Amino acid sequence: MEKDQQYDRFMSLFMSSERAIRSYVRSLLLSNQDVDDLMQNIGLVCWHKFDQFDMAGSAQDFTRWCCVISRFEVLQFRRSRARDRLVLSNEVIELLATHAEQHLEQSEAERRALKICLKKLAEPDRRLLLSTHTIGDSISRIASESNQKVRQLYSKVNIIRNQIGDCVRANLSLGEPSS
Amino acid sequence: MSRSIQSLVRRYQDQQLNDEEVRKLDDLLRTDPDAREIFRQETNLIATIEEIACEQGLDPPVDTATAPPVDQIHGSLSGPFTRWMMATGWLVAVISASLLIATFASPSASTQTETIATIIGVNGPLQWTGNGGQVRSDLTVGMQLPGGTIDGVAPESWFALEFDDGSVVVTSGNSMLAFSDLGQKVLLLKAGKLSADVTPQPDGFPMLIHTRSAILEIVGTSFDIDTDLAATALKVTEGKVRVKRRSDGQLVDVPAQHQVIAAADQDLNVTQIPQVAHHWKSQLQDGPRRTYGRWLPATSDSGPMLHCIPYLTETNQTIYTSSFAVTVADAAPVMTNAQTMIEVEGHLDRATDLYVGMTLKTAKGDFAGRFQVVLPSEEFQSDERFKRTLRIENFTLDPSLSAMKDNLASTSHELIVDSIWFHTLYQQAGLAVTSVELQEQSE
Repeated sequence: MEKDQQYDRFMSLFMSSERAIRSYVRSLLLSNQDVDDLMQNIGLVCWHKFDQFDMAGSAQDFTRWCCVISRFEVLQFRRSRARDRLVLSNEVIELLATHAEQHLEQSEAERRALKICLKKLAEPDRRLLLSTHTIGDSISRIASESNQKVRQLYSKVNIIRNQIGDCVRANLSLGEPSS
Repeated sequence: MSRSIQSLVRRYQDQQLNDEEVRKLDDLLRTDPDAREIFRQETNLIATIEEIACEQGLDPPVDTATAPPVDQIHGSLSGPFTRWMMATGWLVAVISASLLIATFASPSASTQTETIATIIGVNGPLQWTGNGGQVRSDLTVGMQLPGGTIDGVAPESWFALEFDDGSVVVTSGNSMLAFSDLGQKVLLLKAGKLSADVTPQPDGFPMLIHTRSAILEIVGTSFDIDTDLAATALKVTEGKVRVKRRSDGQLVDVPAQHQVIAAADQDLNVTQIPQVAHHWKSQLQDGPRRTYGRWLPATSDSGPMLHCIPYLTETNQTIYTSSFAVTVADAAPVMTNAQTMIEVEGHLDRATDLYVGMTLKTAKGDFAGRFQVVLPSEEFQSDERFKRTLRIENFTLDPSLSAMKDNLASTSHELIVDSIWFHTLYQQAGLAVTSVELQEQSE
């Protein structure tokens, strides 16, 4: 395959799989910043190994293939951060990675449902939930700015998360949501 | 049971578990498949919310009152480009240069193929992605470029571009700038620092600089911008810049020798630029803002740290680096003098040569060079907390800039400190900086 065609093929596959890969990696790492750091390497390694990918494979095959590569990158990354505390053991990370690889389609369906469910949230709740996951923001900061207790606000965020989780399950039980 | 696992998982992801709770969660996940399923669902939820939060933080559509027609800038500011800016900043850093060819070359994207600007200065790892799909990392002085995006990959990256009308823009450090000129110069500064010296622009077509938090309208002036996720700081040296805050549309004019910060959570006050300072100290306890590296908060037995992170050089070698922005647009410029000394505290997992450097610029904002000190590995021991005081006279020009030395400062005195950086070469040595302070030695 010509290099340009290879670019096209890789680009097309990677862009369509990127969110799934990122979500997979995120499930194995503790912070979004770590994911940002690591995704550089993962993209590069996948590209370098792209000639090993079966070109007849589907987009789902490609996602799975990238996730397997990502697993090793995650483990290597964790070894370089071995001094960090408060993280799960490598054995557990391996188990979680295997579990996540077996449920890639399910995770994708959940993501689609979740986006629909988020739109159904009341605007203040939606804003609060998103704020807690915005870089540079935190529940502590929002609590301080809004003169609320951290524990109280944290409880509220968890209630919203529960609502979202219930909504996702309800959506999925009704069938594949349209995005 | 599932609710208690869910609670543990959430608190783990929110980094609120203590040692014992992490061990408990680890045991549960090791032994219970249901716990692994709950973990998957919860982390998938969090990853998706983070992704949406990231998208929500993006710029709203370009202000149609002041921007050129959408179809004119389509190639540089919409569609695939926007998606790339929001979700794949990481991709940009390393592989997007190659991969994005297909995106930018899509039939729907109008492209700019005529050159509009010339590179007049370049240093450190950089990648340019043209709107038409062309990708270059071998940028050299004199190269002419059409519109596109320049990405500074490392703290020492530096890039100066002169438009055909003589206007000059300079980015430094980890900055990301998209630029186009289809009758009106439109720039998008996603992050980082930009200095500009803009010649008078055509009537009705001021240069527009978009950031996440503001739109700047420039008719002809000199200024510095420093932008991040939440705020844009502008310092005007000459002329006048009109700033529109995105959050509420409020407009202010910033005259020469004045500055403003555009952020949703503070007043849009124009103030005079303060005088130079000769003292600066890192503030890692306040968080990772204006640092490059992996910031870790304080723990019971150590203060906050900034760990080096890897990047690939142009020669495909890995350097581990971290840096601190020193002179920022909302504070007095920090200047060196003959009495300047730098005190560094940190930790090394293993002994290695440690590079400590400063990126310096002139009072006018021109790049003056990178000056560094190399502390040899013999001075360190493995797993050592170290503290070193470095005198300004020991800083010498980075050898990689020797070809440009005639255009750079001959010493590191009397210059503005843009950033202070640290790196180790090729093998991870576990360098973490805990504090850095620039001060004058007493007589």
